[in-house]
Amino acid sequence: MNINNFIVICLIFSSFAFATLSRSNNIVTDSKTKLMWQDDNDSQTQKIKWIKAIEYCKNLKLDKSNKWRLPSIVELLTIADKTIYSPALNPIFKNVTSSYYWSSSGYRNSTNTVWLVNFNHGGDIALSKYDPRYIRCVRPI
Amino acid sequence: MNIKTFFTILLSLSVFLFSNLTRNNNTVIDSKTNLIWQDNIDSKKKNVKWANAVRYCKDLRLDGYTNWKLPNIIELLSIVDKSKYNPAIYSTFKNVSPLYYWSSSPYVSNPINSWGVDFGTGNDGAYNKSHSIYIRCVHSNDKK
Repeated sequence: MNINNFIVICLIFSSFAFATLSRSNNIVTDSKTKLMWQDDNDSQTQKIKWIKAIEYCKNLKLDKSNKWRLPSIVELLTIADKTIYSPALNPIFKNVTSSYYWSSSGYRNSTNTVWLVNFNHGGDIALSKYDPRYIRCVRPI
Repeated sequence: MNIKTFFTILLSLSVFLFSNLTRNNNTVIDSKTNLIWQDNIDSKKKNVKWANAVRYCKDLRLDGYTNWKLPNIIELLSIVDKSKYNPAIYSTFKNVSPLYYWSSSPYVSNPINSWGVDFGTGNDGAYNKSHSIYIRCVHSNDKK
């Protein structure tokens, strides 16, 4: 093996080793967090209330996978990329709106407020459960 | 050993085994992220502008550690406990104000700001770099 081949193989290997996100059809898989993320047309266009979002994820079937759920705020923040904006999300995700996405995590002791991530800039915020917001369901690998 | 003592020992042991945070004098070590955090009186009291925060961390010496830096926003979010508030931080940390703390991460859509975390509520936000807010420096355990 000459040195050029060696370098090419090293490069391919390192890009494989360091890229934690991969895509297939309507799902993006994160090998670091061991989570699979919904990334179909719905995750760009569906805007529903929190209680409907819980139900939506529970009923979701995508690429033959089921057992989806709404992500916790900590999980949802793992895909927010604050080094970019509008959207603040890795471009491997194809279906995104630069706006608020639901998490399952409640805010303090409030029964009316939950945590969301604003994928315009990647920050989080607590807002009312009763307004329609976007959804991206998650499931373990 | 009676049953109560046994359970107390079991409980202490499991807290010890599952908590990734341990305390030194003025620092908290996170074995999961491999980060060492400043946790002295300055991290509760001192508030400075962003540029001064960068310099403060660079000059910090604490519990024998040098090479401190301002945490990036992902590092800073790793010590937020969103199940708590006032302050929304893991309870191993003793020196905290329930207010805004600097990160090193630029707010890319408007660089007059930098990302920070509000340790009252636990949410992150963009703060104007010329404002004075709180600081908690971090040290990467990989290089002592």
